[in-house]
Order: sequence, then C-alpha cells, then structure tokens
Amino acid sequence: MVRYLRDQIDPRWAWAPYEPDSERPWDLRLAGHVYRRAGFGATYQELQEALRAGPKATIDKLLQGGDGQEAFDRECQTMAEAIQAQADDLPLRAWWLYVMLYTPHPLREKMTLFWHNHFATSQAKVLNVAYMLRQNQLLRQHALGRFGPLLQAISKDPAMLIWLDTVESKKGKPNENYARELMELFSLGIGHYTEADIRQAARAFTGWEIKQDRFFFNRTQHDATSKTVFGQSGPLIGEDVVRLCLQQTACASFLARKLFRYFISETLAPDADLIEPLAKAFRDSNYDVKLVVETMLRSNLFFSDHAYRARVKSPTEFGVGLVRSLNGKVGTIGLAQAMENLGQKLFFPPSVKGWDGGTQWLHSTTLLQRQNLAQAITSTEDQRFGRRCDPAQLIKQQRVPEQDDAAVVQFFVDLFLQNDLPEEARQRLTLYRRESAKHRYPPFWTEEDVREHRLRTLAYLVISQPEYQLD
Amino acid sequence: MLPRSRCWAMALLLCFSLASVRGQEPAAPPSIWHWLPEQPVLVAQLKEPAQLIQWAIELGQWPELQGFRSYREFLVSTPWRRFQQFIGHVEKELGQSWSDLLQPASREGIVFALEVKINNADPKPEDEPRPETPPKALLIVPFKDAGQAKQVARLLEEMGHFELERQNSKTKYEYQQHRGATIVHLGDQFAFAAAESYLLLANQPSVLQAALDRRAQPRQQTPKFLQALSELSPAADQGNRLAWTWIDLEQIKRDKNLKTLLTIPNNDPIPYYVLGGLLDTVRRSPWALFELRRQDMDVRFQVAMPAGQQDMNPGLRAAFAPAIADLGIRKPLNLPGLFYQQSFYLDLHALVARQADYLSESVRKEFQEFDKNSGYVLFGQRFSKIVSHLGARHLFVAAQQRQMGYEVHPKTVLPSFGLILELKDPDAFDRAMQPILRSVGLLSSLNIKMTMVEEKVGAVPMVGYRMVDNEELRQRDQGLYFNFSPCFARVGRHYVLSSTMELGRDLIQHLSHETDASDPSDGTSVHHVFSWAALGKYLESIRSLLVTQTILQEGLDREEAEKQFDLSQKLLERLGSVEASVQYGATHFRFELRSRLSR
Repeated sequence: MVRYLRDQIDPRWAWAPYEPDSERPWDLRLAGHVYRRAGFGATYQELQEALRAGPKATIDKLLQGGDGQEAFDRECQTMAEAIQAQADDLPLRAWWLYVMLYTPHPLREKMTLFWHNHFATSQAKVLNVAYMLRQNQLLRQHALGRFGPLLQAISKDPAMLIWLDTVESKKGKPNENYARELMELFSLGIGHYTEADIRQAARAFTGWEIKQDRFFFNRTQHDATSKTVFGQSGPLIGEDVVRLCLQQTACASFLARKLFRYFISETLAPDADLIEPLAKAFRDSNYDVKLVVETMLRSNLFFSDHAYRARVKSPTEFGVGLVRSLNGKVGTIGLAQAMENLGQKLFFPPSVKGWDGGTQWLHSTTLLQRQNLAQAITSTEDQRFGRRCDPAQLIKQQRVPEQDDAAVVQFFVDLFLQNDLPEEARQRLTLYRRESAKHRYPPFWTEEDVREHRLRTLAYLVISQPEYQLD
Repeated sequence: MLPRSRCWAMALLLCFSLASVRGQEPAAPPSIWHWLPEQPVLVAQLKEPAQLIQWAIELGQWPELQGFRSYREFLVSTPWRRFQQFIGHVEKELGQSWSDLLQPASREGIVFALEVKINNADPKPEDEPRPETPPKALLIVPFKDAGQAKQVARLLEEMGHFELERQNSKTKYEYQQHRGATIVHLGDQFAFAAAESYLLLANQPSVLQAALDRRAQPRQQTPKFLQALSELSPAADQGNRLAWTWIDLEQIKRDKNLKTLLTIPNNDPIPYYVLGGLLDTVRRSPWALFELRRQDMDVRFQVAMPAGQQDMNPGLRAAFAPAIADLGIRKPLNLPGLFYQQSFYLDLHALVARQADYLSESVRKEFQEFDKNSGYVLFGQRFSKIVSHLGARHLFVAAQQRQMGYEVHPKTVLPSFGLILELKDPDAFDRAMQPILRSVGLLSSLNIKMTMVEEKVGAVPMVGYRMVDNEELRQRDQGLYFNFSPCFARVGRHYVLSSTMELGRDLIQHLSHETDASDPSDGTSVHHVFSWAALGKYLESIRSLLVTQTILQEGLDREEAEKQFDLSQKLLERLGSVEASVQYGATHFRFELRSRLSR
C-alpha cells in the first residue's frame, strides 16, 4: 500500500530535528524504533539506557559507534584473511553475520547492508570469495563516508568488474552492462540518461580488467577516442563517466529516495518537495552519506507515525535482531544456513536490482521459516544455536518476578515489541502465561524444566506477533 | 523440528532398545530366535548393550573431550537433560537403576528383524499400480522375567497415553488379545506387547500376532543367520562382539535393478573400476554379515561374505585379488608426516586384457576405440601398452608438507601426495612415460610459469618442476600454486610420482633402501592406514582457518577458539589411527575397519 501524502507533510517540519513533547514523548517505543532502523535492534539494557539518555545522545552514540571498534575490526580482518582462501561461500556469509551480531558500530553495518543491496553483486556469478569479501570491506569502509569515492571505487572493484561484465568490455566491442546499471541503478535512475549516453559511456569503460586480483587499466583494449556523455565530449575514461554521473542533479535525489525507503518508510512514496531538502543537503555536502543519514534519523518525520513500523524486517534484520535482543551468542554458520531459508542469502542477491524487500519478504513459506528460526533460537533445544540465547536466563538476569504473570509478559513485550502491542494480543499472552501453568508436562520434567519451558514459549509467542515482523 | 510425539516415540524406542536386564540364568532358556520370521531380510542383535553404553561413557570422560565447549554445552543442553530425566523417570517407575537395567545382555541381547517384500517383477504397462507392501519390523527386548516385561509394557502404555492426551490427539490406543498376550497398538503404525519375559515392539499389530504364533510352534532347524555367524565370525580373541547385522542377499538380489547391476558380463564398467571385485562377491554371496567388536579400547567393524577367490570371476580376480601365498600388497611406509596411506593391489594390465571375462562386447569395443585413440594424447603410446608394463602392488600416500619448497607460503597449505607404482618392465615403462610426463610439464609451463629441475637423490635422477616465484603467481589464488612442485623418478622396479619434490625425495630414499616390501599374501587387496595424530600436525599448518571456522561455527571469541583447537590436537593424538582393509580370502570376503586408540 503506497500513501501519497503530497499535501500532508510539510518538508520543513519533516526534516527539522525531533524534540520530545507531550504528544510524541521519548519512550520505549521510539527508542526501539531508533535501534531497529539505525542498527539491528537493541538489548533490554540498551533500551533502558536509551530511555535515560534521550534521543539526541542515543543517536549520537549510534552515529559514532561504541567502544572497541579498532580491536573488533582487527579481529574481523584476521578472520577475513583466513576465510578468503576458501572456495566455499558459507564461511563468508557466516563471517558477515558475525560482524553484524557483535559489531560495536551497528549503524555502519546497517549501511554496509544497504550498499550491498544498492550495488547488488552476486557470488553466483563472481565465484570468488576473496573478491566478494573485498567488495564487502569496501562497502564498509565507505558505508558512512562520501558517495563519490565509493562510486569510483566500486566501479573498479574486481567483483563488480566480473558481475557486470566490464572485464569483457574491449575496444571495438564495448559491453554496456556496467554503464547502464551505473546510471539506472547506482546513481541516476530511469529517465535521467539516454541510450546514447549508455553507448558512449560503455566505451569509456573498455580495457578495465583484473590483473593479479587487482583492477588493471589495459590501454591496448581501451577505446581512447572521443565520446559524448551528458553533453560533455572528450576522450573520456571510466572515472570521467562516474564523475559526470555525480554531477547530475538527479543523482542526489535518486540516492536520497533510496535512503528514505531504507530509513523512513517503504510504504510512503515521497514527492519531490519532500525529498528535495534532503537531496540538496546531500549535494551541498559533496555526497556526505553520514550527514543525510543523520538528518533522517534525527528528523520529525523519522519519529512520526509515517515512519514508525513502516518497513518489513528483512531476514537479516529479523535473525540478527532476534539474537541481539536476547543479548545472545550463536554460531553464525547455522544462522547463515537458516537465513537462506528465510529468503535472503547474503552475497547472493537475486539480480542487479537487489532484493525487492517490503512485503515481498513475507509469504507463507518465509513466514513459517521465520517462526521456525525464532523457535529454534528461543527453545534452546536446537543444537545449531545452543543455550546461549535463552529467554529464561534473561528473565533471571533481569530479576523479573516470575510469579507475576503480567510482569513477565510485560518484560518480553518491552524487549521485543517495545511495549507496543494491541491490548487484545497482550491479554491473549497473559492468558497463555496463566494457563500454561496448568498444562500437562511430561512426568519426568522438573519444576525448573516447566518454568523455563513456559518462559521460552512465551518469548516465542511474543516474537510470533505480526508486529515483530515490522521494522 | 520433530513433533514432540515423534521425539517421545524415538526416545522410548532408544531407551528400550538399549535396555536389557541381568537375568537369572534359566535352566533351559527359550531361544529368542523363535520369535523371528522364517525369512527375514535383515536380522540385527545388540549383543552387549551395557558394554556399548559403558564404553561410550568411558569415551565421554576423556579430558580431551570434556574440555570442548560444544561437548560441555551438549551435556547441559535441553534435549540431553530431558533424555537423562526420562531415563531417571523410567528407573524410578521400574524400581531399578539404569546400571542394573544395562547389565550385559549376556543371555540373548536385543534383537531386531525386518521382512521386506522384494518387487522383482517388471510391471506391464497395462498393469494397475500395485499397492505397496510395507516392511515388517520387529524389535525384541528381553527382561528379567515376565513381571518386569509387563511392567515395562504398562509404563510404555501409560507414557503414550499421557503424551496423546497432552497433545489432544484423536488417536487412541487399541487392544487385541492374541495367544494370551495383549497387543497394544496405535492403528496400523506402532504396536507392542509383553509376552513371557520379552517386550515385543513392531510397526504393525499383525507382525506381533505372527511372532506370537511362531513362538507357540517353534521351528526346529537353525536359522541361516546363526549358521553365518558361526561360519564367518572371527575368533573370540578378536574382542567381544557388541552387535551384528545379517542381511539376506539372496532376497535382495531378486530386485530387478540389482540383478542388472550384478549380471556378468556387464554393460557398465564404472562400478567394476570403482568397487573392484566387490560386486562380483555380492553376486555370489547368499548373505552378508556386519559386526562390531571391541577389544580393550580398540573397535573393529567388519563386513563378511561367504565368497572368496574360489569361483571369483577370473578377470576380476586377476585384476584385484592377489593370489593367496603369493607376494602380498606393500607394507605401509614408516615416514614422518604421512597421515594417510593406501596400499593396494591393482593389475591394470589384467583389467584391460581380461575384459571379456566381465564386460559385454559393446563396452569392450568402446574401450578398444578409446585405446586406439589414446595414442594421440599419450604421445604415440597406447594406454593398453603402457599399463602392460605396470606391476600390481602400488602405494598412495598423503603427507603434511614438513618442508615448504618455496620462500612464499600459500594461504592454504595443502598436503603433499605421492604414488609409488610397481613396474613389471621398468625400462619399457620409463621409455613410455618420460616423454609423456616431460611434455605434460612443458605444456603446463605455458599456463603456469614453471622451471624444470633435474636433481639426483642418492643415485636416482629425479625430474621436477618448480613454480617461478613472481608477483603474479603470488597473487593468483592466494599463492595456492606454491603447494606444488610435481616430480617423477624411476627407482629400480618402481616409479615415483609426487606433488612436491620434498615428498618425492623422501619416497625415493625410502625405496632405495627398502629390503622387504611385502609379506606373503593372505588375499588382502587394499589396506588403508590413517593417522589422526599426523593429520593433527597437518591441521596445525591451517590453524588460522580452523580457529576462524570454530569462531563462526560456535560463536566463540578467539581466545576460546584457540583453546578448542589445542584441545582438538590432543584429541586427535588420543584417537590414534584407523586402518581399513579389503580381503579376498580363499572362500570368503572381508572388509575390516579398525580404530586403534592411543593408550
């Protein structure tokens, strides 16, 4: 469902910083919203800290990332060096999930995931784990940096050179794939270039090859004659074409719309008036991604009903978010395998357009798989995930009075849904909590078994609420 | 996830299949075999369940194992805890501890039998699809006495009732009386009954009825599987028999697909090339026996069939089975760093020359065509001519690279591989192979930059190829090529091929000083030796990768993953070695897998 709200949202109001007031107080609901969008969800402790700190400090923290980033990056680099020699892509996928789960800078990882979908490149064609890993590191390096250097770097990235056939592009036989996607999907969007621009630009990318696993400019295969792209003529090379794309007015608007969909809403189709202030800030700042993301995260619009739960969680956001919220630890090999069943195999986007996202994530099969994953993680009975994501332990750690059914339900609703659940659903959960005490359990179960089982099942039921599927 | 009801059923089955009671030895115990059908396709006996459990417990107490986080996590995992609680509940209900229940089932063990209707008819197109006949499975668990058997059956019934009610299942237990026993069953899916001092479990109530009928009128002749057991079971000094399975191959071979596979001469040569004489053995054997034995901490798994070199297809015998008392296969080498060796008998010349014995004419013609054309790629030499110079006793080895041959070390260190070929006519083979191997080396050099190196190892000239150490090759596939420096050499009546010159030198030196390579043959055709400890040393060279995989697999931090790796090294040392052999005896076939744990 797309809501056209041309006359309803005032851009000045929309992008002005949010200040809590009686109508929109800073509460658990909004704290959870920030952590979901700017990261992969929050632990109970993080939510409580965010409540105390307020929106500004919470967003500051998310923009900067937490302590220990350097050490964490070093550790991830050591692991990356070990796995890149492997032909198997499973460790690579597990490695990225590991980074997402344990990074002190979740927003940087969230943006890396954004760029992975924006510059969607698939190992299915590249068939080189080291190249895919290097591209991922490139995306992370520029995740919150400037878009220009990222676009230049990705154009020379070995995985991208293979993915969009640039390596096949020779003088006299230019391949148009990269030039087309550069304009259509990476920088401008349909309607802002001509077929002639693509044909001419493709010649500029001839002779772009890979040698010794690095970008190599092969002059003998490069078409050095004059080309005309966006009305500019000369012996243009690939870098020139990228620069010309960045000079187009449409570039900032195109990127701002994509970021809007990622951070604000999948259901709201913003008109030009709403996007323009964001695009202008992007343009004026020489494509400073962090600035645009910060503007959005601090905005009135972000904290409004237009944005709240206006996205469907991707499988990665669902799986990583679940483990993070439980403050748990899992082996990410098992998680990577499970994620595949949910419809998102990292490093394997279905096409150059990336994953469609939105409601496409949810259908009868993937929804069932989400439930299965939630049960596998929370039940502690699945050997893949072990016992280190145990809702029963969390209750103990947080000293929630277990004899108080309402308090137990409230804890899980706070943790997973930030206290935002229809009253009817809450009542059903409370009823389950009460009735489950009367259920018949196997005679060899101890009281503790029953107690823990009831807590784990309740946690699973809360995660199974439709609201939990929303970001 | 399995439905809870199935978990329950599996847990119950597991429990009861492991349960056996120290019985008071009756004066004339009724034989457990009388419960069994006349013509089972499979019979299995868990002879010493208590020993098996005890052994598993001993293994579980190894400190090397207990240090593993994943193992410790398993011990406190919810499913394992629940299983232990379940056992505790059964103990409480039956009034006996598990150790009492799991005393050696010295009397009769736990027995399982399966009847399957083999479909051996070719359905005509106009035939109506025939209803499938489900297999009939029967499990017999002996108990101390009739009272205890009834007690167990009652407990099983109560627990089943409870679980069905708990799940609000519409399925209810049904009851039948047959020959004085009460058969309790869930429709046509699962049935059990206590009869005499036994608990009988089956997948259909009719299976139990038939078993009770047979018990009432026991047959006199010794069942085939018991004859097999006494005929082929190794002597008692080879350890205690823990479990065995007997399979009636005569019944299985009626299956039309298998018939096609086992027909000689055959249209498909691949199974013979892959499995050697095994298919011929199966073709001639009426049954096969699988056994698990234990001697101290060593475990031995064996497959035996009553068909040996006598009556073996002559072509296959010549190719795969060394004649008894003739020279046997090569003994394993004693070289440092070797973690796997395969000594094998393969007379390629006989395999080619005697194709008429086992392959159909059309396949032989195809081979002749291939052989005629092989000269184009083998530099004028026909394949059949080259193999005619080969002997039959060869050895393949895999080793840790103890010395890297290059300054640059690849990111992933691969093992070295070597092959020692026995030669019938060394001069002729060398004349044929030198131009082939040198040309392959030269052609490969065009793709990957290599230089030819000729050196002498003692008095033996060795030809090798080394990668050129340049930036391009260093970058290519993370330096993977620096795992190789292929080489070859002729050493007396042997030819050595190796993936690295370092291993090549070791093999040449060993062969130069070798005196007695083989013992007289007992028909052993293949002998594998695998050393866990040596593998551990190889794994040390890819430590970084394995530690990373542990971090990703188990969600550990680096320090803990490093500890896990060190523990796994100790565990590998403890695991000792595994040996496997294939023997074509005079009248029998035997495959044996033996695990020798370090003391």
